[in-house]
Amino acid sequence: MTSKFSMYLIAFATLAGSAATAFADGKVQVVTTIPELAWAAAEIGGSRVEARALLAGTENPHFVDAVPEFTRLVAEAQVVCLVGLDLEVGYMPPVLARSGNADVQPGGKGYCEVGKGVEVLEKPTGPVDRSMGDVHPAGNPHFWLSPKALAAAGREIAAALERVDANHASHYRLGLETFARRLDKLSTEVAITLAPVLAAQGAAGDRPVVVEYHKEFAYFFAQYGIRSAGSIEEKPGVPPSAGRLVEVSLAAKSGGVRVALAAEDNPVKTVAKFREISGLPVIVVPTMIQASGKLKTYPELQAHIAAEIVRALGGGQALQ
Amino acid sequence: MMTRARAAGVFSAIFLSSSALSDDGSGLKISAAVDSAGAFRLGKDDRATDRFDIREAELILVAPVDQTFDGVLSAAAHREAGVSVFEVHEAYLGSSKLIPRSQIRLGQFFLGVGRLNRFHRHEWPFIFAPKVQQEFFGAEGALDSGLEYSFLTPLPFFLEVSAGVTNGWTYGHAHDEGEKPRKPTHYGRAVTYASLPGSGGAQLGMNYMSRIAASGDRMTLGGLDLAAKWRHGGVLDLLLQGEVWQRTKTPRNGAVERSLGAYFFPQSALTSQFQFGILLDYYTVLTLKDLAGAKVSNSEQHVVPTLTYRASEFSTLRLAYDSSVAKQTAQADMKNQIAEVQATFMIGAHPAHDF
Repeated sequence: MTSKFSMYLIAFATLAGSAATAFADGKVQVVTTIPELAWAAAEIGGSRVEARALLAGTENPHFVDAVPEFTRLVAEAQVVCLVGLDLEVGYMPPVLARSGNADVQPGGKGYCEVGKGVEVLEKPTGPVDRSMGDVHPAGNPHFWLSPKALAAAGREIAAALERVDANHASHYRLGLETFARRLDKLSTEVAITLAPVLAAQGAAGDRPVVVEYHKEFAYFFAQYGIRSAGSIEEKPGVPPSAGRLVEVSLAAKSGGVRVALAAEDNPVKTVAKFREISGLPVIVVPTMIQASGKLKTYPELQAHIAAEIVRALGGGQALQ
Repeated sequence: MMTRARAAGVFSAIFLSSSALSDDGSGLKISAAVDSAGAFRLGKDDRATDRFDIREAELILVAPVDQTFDGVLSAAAHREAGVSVFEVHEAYLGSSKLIPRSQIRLGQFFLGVGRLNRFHRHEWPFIFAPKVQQEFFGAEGALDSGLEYSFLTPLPFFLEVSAGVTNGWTYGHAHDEGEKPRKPTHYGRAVTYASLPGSGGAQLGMNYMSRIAASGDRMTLGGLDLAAKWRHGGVLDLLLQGEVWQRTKTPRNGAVERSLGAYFFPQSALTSQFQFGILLDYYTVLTLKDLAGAKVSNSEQHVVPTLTYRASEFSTLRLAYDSSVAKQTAQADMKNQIAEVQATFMIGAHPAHDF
């Protein structure tokens, strides 16, 4: 009787699993961690893809729990795309394992870690340990704010789509080409918006006018040739001490920095203290597309960040 | 039945070779967690151990075994009766690739019921186990060897059901061979999850467990567990955690004993690194009677304000004040006040951010 029960259980589980992971409406179900990758997958896959992100765009992507709802969504996906570079190391391994979806686990045809296709910045050259803060041994994972890096990530997404839906490989290749062209055009437009920043930092770029709280704008700056005076954090992921805040505030002010950039998930009180000591405008911007916010697409996010920097630089009122 | 060896040497050997093993392409992830805690009397008549000790120094190894299975081994050195002993906590073969939407564990593990019982003690949000946990599962949690199967239902909301059966020769965290039970430990759990306004979410579990010991005594447990979290950025702004359990012990000969216990722990972030919570803990034997057969009202209640400092997700310092009172009809209340401290740290592989 026990063996009969086990047989029924396995058969039920197999059927239920197969039914749930079947292509809904003929579309490839893509689940990504951050919203930018879902946007990219939708752009590349077009009508053949239904993409959704696990994060809403308001989280600190370093500190996310393995929420049970994530497991349910991953269980029903054909493709799961991660940033990689250890950004999701805290929550995606248990989510993937608990999903019981072998196809999207590492080594599966639907597993897609896009960071491996990106030219990574700030990769440590020496030994790394936790006394240095939240240093990622594989390099800075916040690449999605660079259109060029996101286009590179798109190649990994397209490759995963081709693997699971090989009959429409040409559709995804074409989608990737269109996606890359769109990002190229976008970066040209954003670069025009940011021209005053480049002018302010001098032709040689030796007079940085921006400082960031956490090094999550590094790729944005690199894409557009903006030189950063550094980060307010002394060690990534570690709130700066009072001494560090004073030091970096005074150094920024005396060094000609004119605007500080912070993400919405950065500690509000610390950012406010920096503003108070330095007297510099601090603009607080989203670093991800937000499902329930005003910036629902990647071009809107890029344009918003650029416009805010330029506005603050020009003496306009910074966002709080 | 628990594997157990007074072999600190084994612990050292595994630990020292960890760095050599971690980069050999096997995917082996190694971490170690050390949990130290102490309880101190605040008054001369109060009761506490009055010492600060290492409760556990746990080594956790996780790696894919092959294309289908993962292997998990966690072993801890404990200080018991003045001696550090080394014992296997969990050692199991697991797979989430064998059957769609399913997870299987085969081996020795903490039984997949409730909230606290599914987490290692150094991951708990407070220092000492609530009375209900100590009474029904043991101070560390109930573990045993057997098989556990979990299935994620294909519904438009999260619902996972689990069932497990284990040897049942012993129950809780025993250090003896035990005896073959008439009916092994068997349990089931159904858990669901709902998003809540303001970036929050709540998980609710329903649990059942039963066992008939060799003596013929039956034990049945039923309970609910809840965990709700609200995060802002990287900070856990609010945590609400609680469990309520009822146990029925039906001796082969004798009267049925029913006990009820519950705890609730609300915790709020003071800053990005400090959290403050209060553990409210209640336990009673529902069927307690005096010699004349009259029902005796009784309870044990604890209120434990707890301050937590987390420099990062890898280290925790905790300070708590435990004020408790044990009440029973026709007896004077027994009050106790204790100061509690805890220090934990994790080194090695990054821990999972379980919900």
